[in-house]
Amino acid sequence: MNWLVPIDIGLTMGLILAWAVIALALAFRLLHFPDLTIEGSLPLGAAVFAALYKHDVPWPLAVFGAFAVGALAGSLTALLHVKFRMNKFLAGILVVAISYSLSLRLMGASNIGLLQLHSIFDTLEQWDKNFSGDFHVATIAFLAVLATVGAAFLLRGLSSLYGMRLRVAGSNPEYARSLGINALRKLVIGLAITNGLAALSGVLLAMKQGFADVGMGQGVLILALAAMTIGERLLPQRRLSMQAFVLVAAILGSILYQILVSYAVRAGLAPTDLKLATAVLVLFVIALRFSRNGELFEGGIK
Amino acid sequence: MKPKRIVVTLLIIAAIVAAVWLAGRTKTAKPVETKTVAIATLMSHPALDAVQENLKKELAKEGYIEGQNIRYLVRNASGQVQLAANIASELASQNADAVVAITTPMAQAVAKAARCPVVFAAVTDPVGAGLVKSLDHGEENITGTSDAWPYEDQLKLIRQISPNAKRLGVLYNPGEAASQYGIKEIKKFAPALGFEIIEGAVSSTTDVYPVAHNLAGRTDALFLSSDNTVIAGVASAIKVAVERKMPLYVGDSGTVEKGGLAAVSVGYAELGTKTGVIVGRVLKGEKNIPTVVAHGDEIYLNKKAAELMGVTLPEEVLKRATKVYEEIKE
Amino acid sequence: MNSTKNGDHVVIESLHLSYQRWGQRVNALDGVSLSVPRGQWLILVGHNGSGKTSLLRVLSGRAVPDCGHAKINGKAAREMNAGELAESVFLIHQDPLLGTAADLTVLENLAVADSHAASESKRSLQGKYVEMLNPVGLADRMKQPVQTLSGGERQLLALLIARLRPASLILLDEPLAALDPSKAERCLAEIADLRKAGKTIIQVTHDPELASTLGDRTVVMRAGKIVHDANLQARNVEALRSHWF
Repeated sequence: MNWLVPIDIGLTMGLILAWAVIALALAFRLLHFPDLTIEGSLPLGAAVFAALYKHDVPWPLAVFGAFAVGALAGSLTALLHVKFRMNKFLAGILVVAISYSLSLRLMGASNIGLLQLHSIFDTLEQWDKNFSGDFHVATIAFLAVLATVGAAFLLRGLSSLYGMRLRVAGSNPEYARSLGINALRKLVIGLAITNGLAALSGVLLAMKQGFADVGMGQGVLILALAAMTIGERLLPQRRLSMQAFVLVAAILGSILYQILVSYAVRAGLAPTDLKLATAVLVLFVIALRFSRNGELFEGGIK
Repeated sequence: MKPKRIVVTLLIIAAIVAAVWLAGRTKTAKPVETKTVAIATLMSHPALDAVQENLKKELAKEGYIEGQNIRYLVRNASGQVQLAANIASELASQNADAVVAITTPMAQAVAKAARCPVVFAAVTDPVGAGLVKSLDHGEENITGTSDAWPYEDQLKLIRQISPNAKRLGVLYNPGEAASQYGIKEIKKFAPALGFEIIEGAVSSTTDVYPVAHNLAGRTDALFLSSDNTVIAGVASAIKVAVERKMPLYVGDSGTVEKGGLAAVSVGYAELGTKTGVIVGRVLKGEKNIPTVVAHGDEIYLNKKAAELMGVTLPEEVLKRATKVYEEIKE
Repeated sequence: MNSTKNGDHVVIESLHLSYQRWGQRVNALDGVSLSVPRGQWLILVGHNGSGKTSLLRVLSGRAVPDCGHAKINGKAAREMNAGELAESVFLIHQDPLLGTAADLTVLENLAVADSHAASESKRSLQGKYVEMLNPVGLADRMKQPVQTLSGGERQLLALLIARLRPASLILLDEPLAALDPSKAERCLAEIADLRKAGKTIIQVTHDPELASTLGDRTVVMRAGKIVHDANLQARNVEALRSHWF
């Protein structure tokens, strides 16, 4: 059964990081904004959570605080692009740099240990240890339910009239204006929500790994990009609305990517090779899709 | 998404969960004779590698021969903090008899995920990292070695070799837990020895050259702290020191070999051995072992570096030195 | 020239608009005055650079004139905020790709534009849209993303959207230019329907044939000025052509 363990780990880590992938996917596909901010909002979320926890703030409040600060980071990126006409990439990079310094400040150190924290993961781990043998069934079930409920929520929102207006703002800002939709404001709200989600990923990761570290975000962007690409490639598009497709592909991709990583780690592949392999994979998949029909998104059959 | 779809999805998840749960209940059998020791590190560099090497040597001395009655599972995150949780989880599933975790973030992740005894190694501040409550009191399943750098002794050595140095430029990465602790300690001991500390913050290895260059103009000597990022960029710091004919002090023997002028070091080889001893005790079933702090008192010097930097090494220091390097290793 | 009547839907007085291009000052609108009564279908013709697009841009609030004003229902376009503009005027571009949101489905595009959408149930909305889409043959594509529609189909959709908009002034910037004849026919029928529904339409075209047969009134522009303004009875292609060159 040992060879199945990477699937177990892949599911766990995949579902934890799914929120960050969802953040990138929603911003990229629905808002047409390549959001680099997630590389900063994920560790920022962890930092806020850890810092609040250290000051004995009850965990629901700490989680909310993390989401809020992540959302602020996202809105900053949007504002920089909208108000100061900053290039989308640059705006994201700038906010990542700000998040790094902010994380250091908030934690008062570059690393806060969370080993004493008895989080939900520890409760689940106890259950798993006693009843599940090698596999973390309870942990994965919890994360899966979280992901499903969260995704359903997001989907509902995106399919509503407000969600439609948000998507119009992302799809065609000029046109949105003629409908009386404030595209600028919608972008700020959109990126706030996505980065709040990325921050939540950071919180979950910090709880799972037992620490919050300012270097946690490094590589999140490549990871999310790869996961998103894998998910979109493998998920059939039939009968799914665009929003649903993007969400499900993100979660699926995150899980598959982490499973791949886990197998690679088990096989002893050096993570530097892994990074290269990831980049190559992404390039390959993108090239494949471009050659198909010149569109980055297969919107139905022509 | 319609409620029906959500229910169906949850049911499917429940079914998969049940299936996997049943499958997972069969545990992997393992030959009782062979011990499994997992070693997880965040990254490689000479000091950390020395720990691993000597830990294995010590265990071999105690009778654990690799391939015969002990097997090692080695994992390296190549500097990616993100992979720590992944590696920790993976090793936790391996049914090891002990996991050795090298560097602070790796130790934290392993401590969180592990289902077997954890031995951390080369963690500068285990209490601050939350691994143990205090250094003297042993935890049930966590113990290890700490490479608390002998900051006071290092400053004393600098004072001996450079009696006239007043301003000391210290390069460190504020993003590393060990360095933040280090800079605090350095600042604690500096005034008594007549030093004024000027900080040079480095966020990546490429910053080492410009920061060192900048500090060189304002200080009498340079000091590289106990910092993975900075140590990786030692070559550029040496360049600056040689250009300006200034002493460059470092913190471990490996870096002195590469051209640092002098260091009072925790011998990482010795640290590795000490870690091996602890692992041996853990394998025998011992619990509640207090943390072993390695106090460095080995002096390493590099003559070639002294020559290039325009520094004369005093005789008594040369006599007390544990090792004097004649050349700079590339 | 028609005299300005203040009760009209659209009243434009002495409009001047200039901009910099390649270091030179270009007069896009050079003292344009025009009055459009409610429900009129006005055809605006002229060469490229004659100012017709600039006129539309000022009317839709996308450009601010240097002096003069363009008033819709008595209020100047430049003084309206985004919400007021969205309720007063709706602009359809020449490029069909600009007139709809590509990522959203046909249904969603209609719903977003429909100011009554929030108060009706999903089912009744769908029924309403199916009725609108059937005559143009798009009913079976309702749940598909607009991306999959051809240019002509998207322009048709834009016109259907115009029907749902609260705006009573519809501006059309050469809507048929990018279409093939059969689609253009269909679009013209849609525009006629809009007119029947009581909307005021200002349609820009560069085709003098079209200009002489469509609408209630033709206005010819050249070099930022109005050079000819005639209603249906008085105009013919020859007269138009003479003002053209």
